[in-house]
Amino acid sequence: MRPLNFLAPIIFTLLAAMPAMAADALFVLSGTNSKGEMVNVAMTRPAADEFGLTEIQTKLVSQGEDLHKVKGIAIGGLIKKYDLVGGSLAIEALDGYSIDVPRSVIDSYPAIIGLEIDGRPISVRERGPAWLIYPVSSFKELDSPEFEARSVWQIKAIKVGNGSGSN
Amino acid sequence: MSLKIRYILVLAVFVALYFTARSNLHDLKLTVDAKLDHSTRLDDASRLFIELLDFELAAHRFVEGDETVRHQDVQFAFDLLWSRVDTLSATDDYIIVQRLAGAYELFPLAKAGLRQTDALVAGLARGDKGALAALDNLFKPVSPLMRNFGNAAYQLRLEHSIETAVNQKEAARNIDMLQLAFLLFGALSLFMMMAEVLRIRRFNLKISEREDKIIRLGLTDPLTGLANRRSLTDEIERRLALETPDGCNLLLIDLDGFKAVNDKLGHPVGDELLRQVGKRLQDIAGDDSMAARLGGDEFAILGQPRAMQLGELADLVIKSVEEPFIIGQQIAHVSASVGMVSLDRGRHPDASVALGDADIALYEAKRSGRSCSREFEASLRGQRDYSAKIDESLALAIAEGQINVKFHPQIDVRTGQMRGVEALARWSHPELGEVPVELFIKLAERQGLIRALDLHILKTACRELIKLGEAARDLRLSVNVSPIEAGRRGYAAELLTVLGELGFPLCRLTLELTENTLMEDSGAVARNLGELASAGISIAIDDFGSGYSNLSYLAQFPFNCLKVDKKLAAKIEDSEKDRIVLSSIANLANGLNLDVIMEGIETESQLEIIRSIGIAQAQGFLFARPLSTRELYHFLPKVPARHTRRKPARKAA
Repeated sequence: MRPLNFLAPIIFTLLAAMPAMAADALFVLSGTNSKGEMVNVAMTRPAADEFGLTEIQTKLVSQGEDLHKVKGIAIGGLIKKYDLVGGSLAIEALDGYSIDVPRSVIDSYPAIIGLEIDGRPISVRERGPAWLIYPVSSFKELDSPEFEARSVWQIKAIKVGNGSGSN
Repeated sequence: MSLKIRYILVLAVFVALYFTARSNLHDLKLTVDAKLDHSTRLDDASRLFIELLDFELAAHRFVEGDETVRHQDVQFAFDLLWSRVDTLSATDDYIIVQRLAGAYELFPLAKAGLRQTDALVAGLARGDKGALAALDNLFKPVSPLMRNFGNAAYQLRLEHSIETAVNQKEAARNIDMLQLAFLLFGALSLFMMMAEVLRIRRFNLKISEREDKIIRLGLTDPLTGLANRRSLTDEIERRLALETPDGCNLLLIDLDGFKAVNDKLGHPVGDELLRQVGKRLQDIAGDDSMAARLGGDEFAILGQPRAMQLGELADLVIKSVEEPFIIGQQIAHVSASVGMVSLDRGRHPDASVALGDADIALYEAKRSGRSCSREFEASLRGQRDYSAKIDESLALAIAEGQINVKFHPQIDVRTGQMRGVEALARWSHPELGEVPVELFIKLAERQGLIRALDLHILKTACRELIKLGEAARDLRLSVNVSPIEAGRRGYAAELLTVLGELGFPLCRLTLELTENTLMEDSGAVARNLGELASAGISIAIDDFGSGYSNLSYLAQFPFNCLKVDKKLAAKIEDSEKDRIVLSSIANLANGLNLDVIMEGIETESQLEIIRSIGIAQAQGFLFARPLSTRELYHFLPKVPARHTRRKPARKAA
């Protein structure tokens, strides 16, 4: 336990800062870049706008077969931007739900972290503010329970690494 | 089962296994997908009650003055709860959740509660206990429902995961079974392949055995199992290629009398005889020398068994073949003629020359009579060439009329007058000169040319006599008939037609037949002779006294004349017994009212003897050699033109 003792104040500080971060930040992106440096980015809406938003058209989980215009951050591009390494994305939701998404899925399909649906920001009640959405209507193979489970809404954090081993 | 069907069956089983496996795995995937789907929904459902508690806790702490909880945290927890209720009740995707215990009542109630508390939560302030109590009251009826709902979701998820585990176990077992099936069928097809390989190997072995047999058959004679001509030729070539082939003998052996055995006892006996001859020759040849059958009744021995000299070896072969053959119930006798040659690299550049030499020697041995051997000499080659040339040119000679007729006068011994002539064939070959008549008659018989030859002689003789005109008008003509012709069906009719065309009087014609003609097929001969005799043609038995002299023939056939063999003429001067024999023949002929002509009279004393015995006519060099037509013409004037004994014959003409 001793070696970890010095971490305690840091963890405390981080935990204390979280509600404050949650207030402005959409979600936190973390991981290690190719130089071995730790990366910890609190993604805000202005930062997202600065990164540039992508729009796809697709149906949404448990919202019938209607197509919706979804605007958001291309997750593959975002990870590339921060040069994060690792084969897996551990995605955690506000309600505590968490799932691992293989990096290969992100690299193969233009998935986005949706911030607006049909021109309106997504509220928490509508499973916002950040919702990992796949172009299910363009790639039929994505229309499966597996991808539905990976379609995480109310995203709190994305950790790029080598997988937690869960799912 | 045929090979094709077996392969198709195995293939079909593999395809069936593959599809079974695929369908099983597909089912498994669907099950897993469904369970995963339900698992996510149930996970969502089980969080509902916790989120309600979270919200209520946040609201209480905020109102009661906890600094760590801000209003926006309460609002956030409320929004999460709102979103959860919305999601769970939203679409058919959540049907599993919507069917959980109490869900039917819960969702309308929860939605109503959320709407009613929305403004309350938005306006919630610290210390506002009244608002808090109102919130609690509003959520009171929903709370136990949510707890039950959450429990039910948790319970179902648990059941599902147990079910999933069971299913996965089942699937694993199925996959195990499939693996086992694949393994078994894999092993089975491997076994089949191995069986196939074995079968092919066996098949190949059979083929190579058959090939061996074919090669063996190509080199051996199937009947006797001895080497055949080809392997004998190869062996001769091999020996000629050796440094010292000297002392190596080649014997060609031809059976005498084999044809008679075949004809009389049948081909199976003939074949068995050939087998036994083969075995005897093989025993003589031993291991060092080769015995071969060249075909038909011709065999060979190559080598020098037991260091025997050529002559010794040939004698041994002849003696061995002369021993009787016992074949079933039958006993057969044959003899052997042997032609021999010593292999010599100088004289024999190849096997065919060596075989040719041996063949020439064999030919000579056969000519010399049965049961003898001849060794090849260079001089024999000429004789062989001579025979071959005659053989080749006979057909052409007959067709082109190279074969002439000479006339041998038949003389009345009392008056010295010529009564008739015997037509004799003569062949003067442009290269080889005079060819002996016996030789080319025999050749013609062998080559199937005897009909043409006989007709040619008859026609020529008749035309020549007709040419002589008035001077020869009483002259009788005798023509020899081949035994083959005399026994041929339709011979008489053909002859009569030809004679009709020629215009030669039938009463002046005599056909001479040898005794052996009558032995051949007496029925057919008798019919022909009967027909010819009734047409007025005379029939003579030729060379009487040389063969069996079967007297019964004299009564059996319609003879007019008996010609006594010249061998008897040669003996009558010295032998009393032969004179008695001749005298008896003459008496017999007189008794049967036959004319008698003595052949081969060469001396006055012979003439005197036959005159004293009372024989009326004679033929021989004492009177004349065979004459050409011109010579005959000159011979004629000595003969009185009008004197004939056979008045009835003239009437017939």
